[in-house]
Amino acid sequence: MCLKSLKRLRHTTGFRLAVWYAGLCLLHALVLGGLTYVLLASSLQQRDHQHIAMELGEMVEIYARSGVAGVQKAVDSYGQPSYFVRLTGADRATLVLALPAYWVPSALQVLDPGRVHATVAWDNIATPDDGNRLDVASLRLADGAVLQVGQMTQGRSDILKRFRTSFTLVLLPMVALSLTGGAVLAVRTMHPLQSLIHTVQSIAAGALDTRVATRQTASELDELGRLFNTMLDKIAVLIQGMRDALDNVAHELRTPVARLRASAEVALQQAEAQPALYREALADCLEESERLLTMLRTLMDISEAETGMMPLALEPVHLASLLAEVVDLYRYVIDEHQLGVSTTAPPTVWVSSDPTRLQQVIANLLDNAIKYTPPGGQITLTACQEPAGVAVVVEDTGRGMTPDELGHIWDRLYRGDKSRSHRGLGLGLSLVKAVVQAHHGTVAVSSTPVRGARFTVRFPEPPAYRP
Amino acid sequence: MILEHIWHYHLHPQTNVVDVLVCRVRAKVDREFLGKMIHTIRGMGYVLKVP
Repeated sequence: MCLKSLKRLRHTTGFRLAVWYAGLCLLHALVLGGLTYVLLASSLQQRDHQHIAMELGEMVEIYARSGVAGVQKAVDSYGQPSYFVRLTGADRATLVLALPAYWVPSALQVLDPGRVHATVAWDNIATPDDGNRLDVASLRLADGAVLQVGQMTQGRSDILKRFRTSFTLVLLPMVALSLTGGAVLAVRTMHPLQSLIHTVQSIAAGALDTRVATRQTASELDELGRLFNTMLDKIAVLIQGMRDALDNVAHELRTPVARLRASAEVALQQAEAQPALYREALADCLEESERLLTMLRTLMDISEAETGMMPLALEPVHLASLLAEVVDLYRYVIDEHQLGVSTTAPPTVWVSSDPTRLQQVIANLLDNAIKYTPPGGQITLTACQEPAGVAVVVEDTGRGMTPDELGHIWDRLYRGDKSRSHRGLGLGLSLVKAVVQAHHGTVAVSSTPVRGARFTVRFPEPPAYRP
Repeated sequence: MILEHIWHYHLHPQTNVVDVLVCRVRAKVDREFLGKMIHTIRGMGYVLKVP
């Protein structure tokens, strides 16, 4: 079980991230340490070589001035010699030899004066016992004699050894630190993803209103969480819309379907005696089903518009012409209701919209105004250019609405007229609102009871149309 | 139907625009005569028939 979870952990992104981080940290430290070590070693070697070269130079000078005897004298003056010094004649006979106490006799065999040339040659000889090394500089002088000066590099190796030890000591906490750092980094980075995973899991488990916990940072993962939440909200709105539509439809369909059924029943039971009753019943059924179809079509339209699925063929629409067309369509109805209608629309006002849909919006508002305005009333349609876009106002002098009614007029299937004496489905204003919002516009209403109502539709400013 | 054909109202509000219009037409065509030419077919629409 433990092994299995370890195995799974090995394949998680967080674990990989931590390991990569720790690995890179260590590699970094190792490269840095190695480079420092090499630089330190080479500068120490340079220092040692400088000392030896100085000594060699001195000896060369003494030899040039006072010959073999001079060198011997200089060597003798050391007392206990700190440098290895050997002067070999052109005939390979050793003329002067000074050996420090630490000197290894076997080293002499390595330092063959025969291969030495007129430039300084360096030898680095390992001592067999304690791992110390000897640096020796050799130079062939003008007369063929070979002068060799050497020194043990004890100090150098000591320093390097101490460096190695302290580096190893530093490396251990470094490993721990980089592993911890990697783990912290992994946990912090993976946190938004983890909460995303948890959210998806609880949604899959049925908690549909779970949302990702996000922080207000510019991090891409937080951004992803926020976008994910936005997406979930949008989906929730869509689902709620569908549910509401279904509920309303089920409720509203019952009555007409029951009437259909009653008509058919009556026809079957009683019409045999009077064939005219058949026609009557069939006509009833036709009317009822027409009404049902209209309701369903409108409901589907509202849903489509509300969810942003309504196809809109946007084009520049000349508002004055469109208002005139709608008023023309309703002219006889307006006359019959003995209403006055006036339209004010400057010919310069254009709006970007789907003309059929816009016509539907205006017609619904006008239809509504006619329905609720008593004879002798006045309906005013106004279109005007506003700084932020275009506004269309439909105003009537009807019975108006109470604040309570105002809160419900946009609801699907709500009808202000409780007696249901007017024809209508209670879908007109819902459709108006849905269509206007699908155009990214707004629709507002204000009303004073008894004095009238005023509907204002606003469309945002499109790119200026001046065809 | 009439609404859709003549005014291209594909999704009309529940309106009696057509009824009112036919009422006007009927007043002009049929009022003075005994044999009426415009008949209503319930659930369907209107028909023009020679009496």
